[in-house]
Amino acid sequence: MNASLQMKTDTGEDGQIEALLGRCALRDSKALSELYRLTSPQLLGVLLKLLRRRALAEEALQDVMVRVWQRASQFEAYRGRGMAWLVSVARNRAIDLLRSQRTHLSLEDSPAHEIADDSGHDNLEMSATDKMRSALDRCLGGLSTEQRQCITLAYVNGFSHDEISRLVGSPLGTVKSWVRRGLTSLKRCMES
Amino acid sequence: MKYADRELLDQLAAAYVVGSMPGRTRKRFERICTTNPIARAAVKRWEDRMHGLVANVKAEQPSPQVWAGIEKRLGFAGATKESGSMWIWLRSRWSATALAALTALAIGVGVYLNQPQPLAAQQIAAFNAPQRGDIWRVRSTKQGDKLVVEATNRVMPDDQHEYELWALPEGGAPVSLGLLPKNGVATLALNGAQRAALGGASKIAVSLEPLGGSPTGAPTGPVLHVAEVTRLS
Repeated sequence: MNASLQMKTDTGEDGQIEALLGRCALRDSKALSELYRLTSPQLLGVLLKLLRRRALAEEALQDVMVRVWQRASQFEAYRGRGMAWLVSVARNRAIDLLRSQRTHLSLEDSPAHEIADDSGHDNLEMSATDKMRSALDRCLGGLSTEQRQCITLAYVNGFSHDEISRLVGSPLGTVKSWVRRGLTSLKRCMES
Repeated sequence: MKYADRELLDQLAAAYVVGSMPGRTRKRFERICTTNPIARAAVKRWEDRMHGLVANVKAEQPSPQVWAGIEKRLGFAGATKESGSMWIWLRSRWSATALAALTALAIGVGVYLNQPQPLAAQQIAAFNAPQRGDIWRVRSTKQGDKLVVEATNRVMPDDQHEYELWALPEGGAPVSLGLLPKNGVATLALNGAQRAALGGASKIAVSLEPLGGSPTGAPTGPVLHVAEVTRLS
């Protein structure tokens, strides 16, 4: 593939990912195959986190790659941010599935302590390699524990406000407020 | 609800990206995004801000059936195992899926995939944007030694980059045909290699490149548009 793009970002692959997306826009099926090889483990990890069940996550991964193939020509969607775009396609697919199909939540699939351990702020410090992630890391650290946990439960684990409320045992209105205020603080901090 | 309000759009974008928005509101916001560039931009900014949160999610290797399913759904099972290129796939496996995929691209004026045409024929193509019309119109001279390119007023002004035109010969690497004008009409003289590449191409493409054009001889920036080449006999 195009070896001239070597910009390193959080995955160490982003320049290459963009080049592959470009080739996908040219309908190069080998590029999709290579893109899949490079990104599918991370995308499946994200999907599994959101959807919990492996069979469902793998089915969603298929949807994501088909969608990527069909939309690769929408360059504006991924210019300068290949992996972020792929993750957004994956997350959107997973959230659509969660919101449309989930009739009841199996919280036992994701115990609160495991979620907190798994996606907490400390882990982020280990691989904060790019500017945006460093800023996110720093700014998450400035949030209250509740705000940070609720935002993570929503973004990484795909829980709705209502589900987070049940999970953390706090009233719905309080959870909504934590998320909203947390995001406002996060934005202000990351823009400063 | 006043959707022109940037602050409100930003809050909606945040809720959308974080995923805390209820399903129906989510669909409604997606519809707003299709027509509201401010909302789209806000979503992008939030996606970028939050992306780092999944960086530490444990990667999981998919089972082999996943890729097999993707190949099947896209109709190119087997194609990536062959030495043949995407063009062979396109010619031999033309399908509803491929057609749908191509329709999603900026399509030019016609498709002549099955019969390579002699170079002497005049070739035309147009890069266009869905619902916006042509961006560039490209035609070759009858001799095939020059391309005449007309930029419409839909070309996005960009002083920091060039728009580079590429022939996509079947089974081969893209070949640069020169830099596209950002306005007005330009004539691009073609050398032998460029003529041969264009002669064997059923598509041409535009990529975004640094000033002066691609430094490597291959597209280095994102591909902005792909158009079909129509040959007039």
